[in-house]
Amino acid sequence: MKYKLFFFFAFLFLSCQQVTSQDTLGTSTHRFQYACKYKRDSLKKGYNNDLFFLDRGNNISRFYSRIEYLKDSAKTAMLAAGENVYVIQEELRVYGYGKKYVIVKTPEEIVFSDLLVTSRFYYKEPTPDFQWSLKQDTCSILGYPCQKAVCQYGGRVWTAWFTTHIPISDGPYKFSGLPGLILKISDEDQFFIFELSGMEDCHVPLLQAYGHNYNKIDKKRYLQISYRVWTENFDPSGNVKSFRLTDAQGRDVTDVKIPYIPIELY
Amino acid sequence: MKKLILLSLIIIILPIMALAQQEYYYAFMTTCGRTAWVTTHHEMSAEEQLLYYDHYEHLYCELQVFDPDAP
Repeated sequence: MKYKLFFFFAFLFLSCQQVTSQDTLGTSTHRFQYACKYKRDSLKKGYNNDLFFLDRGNNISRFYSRIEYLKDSAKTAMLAAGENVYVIQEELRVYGYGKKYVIVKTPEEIVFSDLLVTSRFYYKEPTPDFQWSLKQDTCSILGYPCQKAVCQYGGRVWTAWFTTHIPISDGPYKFSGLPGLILKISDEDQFFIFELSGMEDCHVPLLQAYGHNYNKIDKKRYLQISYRVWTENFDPSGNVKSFRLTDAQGRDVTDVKIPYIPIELY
Repeated sequence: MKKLILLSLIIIILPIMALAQQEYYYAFMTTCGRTAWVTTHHEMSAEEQLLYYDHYEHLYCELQVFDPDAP
């Protein structure tokens, strides 16, 4: 009986240790803030806006939406306080919409997680070899002299501006591998533009991109599900029995195709 | 005896079947006039409702955001 109890508590202790070690990967030293503009419809003028944090520690970084981070914190606090769902909905509206994905980068791999409607997914991939092509063009961003570099990734041609004055081989989204920090990057269609808007010394825990309630899938499957979610009113949770969408006049617009531009095509 | 077993099974199974057939109706009214009508087999938590609302609001209402610098 004593042995059984010992093994039970040992298992409990080790399980807790494992959860803790999965959750916190280190501590950041710097925080870089990137303004992001992205298009959802190539035929229309205008961008959606987001703001991202790149929290950088020793050989590890975490990239996530500041909007979503603040919104999630406010939501958690209001739910804990037992606030009415409609009141919370109204309160959260002022934050706007932040992308739900989180990217954790190490020299070996990238961990990408996302929330699609109510379902949480994550996938891992080896750190890509971006095969940057360095150019002679230069510019200045936030007072830092920058050099141009071009690569192809995810079916798009990306132009980056990096500075060796910040000798950190990192950047927004999944990008890294240059001899300095990427201060600006955009694709050739100008559908996605990330630009540094601020930086500070910052010591926060670097949390893993996923937790125990995330489903592991491969990248190809994630891209397929994501495409269906953003274009076909698809809900991957499987909880929805029926779905219908009506416009302001009450007409059924369920089958109207929704424009969507994925950041990665494959 | 058989009748008793059958009766007990019916008493157990019927509420389970009724529970499985239970439907919950939700209407997520977005700020741009579109309404998503959702039927589920389970009662959504407050957090789930907020996630659906956030998703639909972004999906249907934030397609065009004015930006003077837009190409």
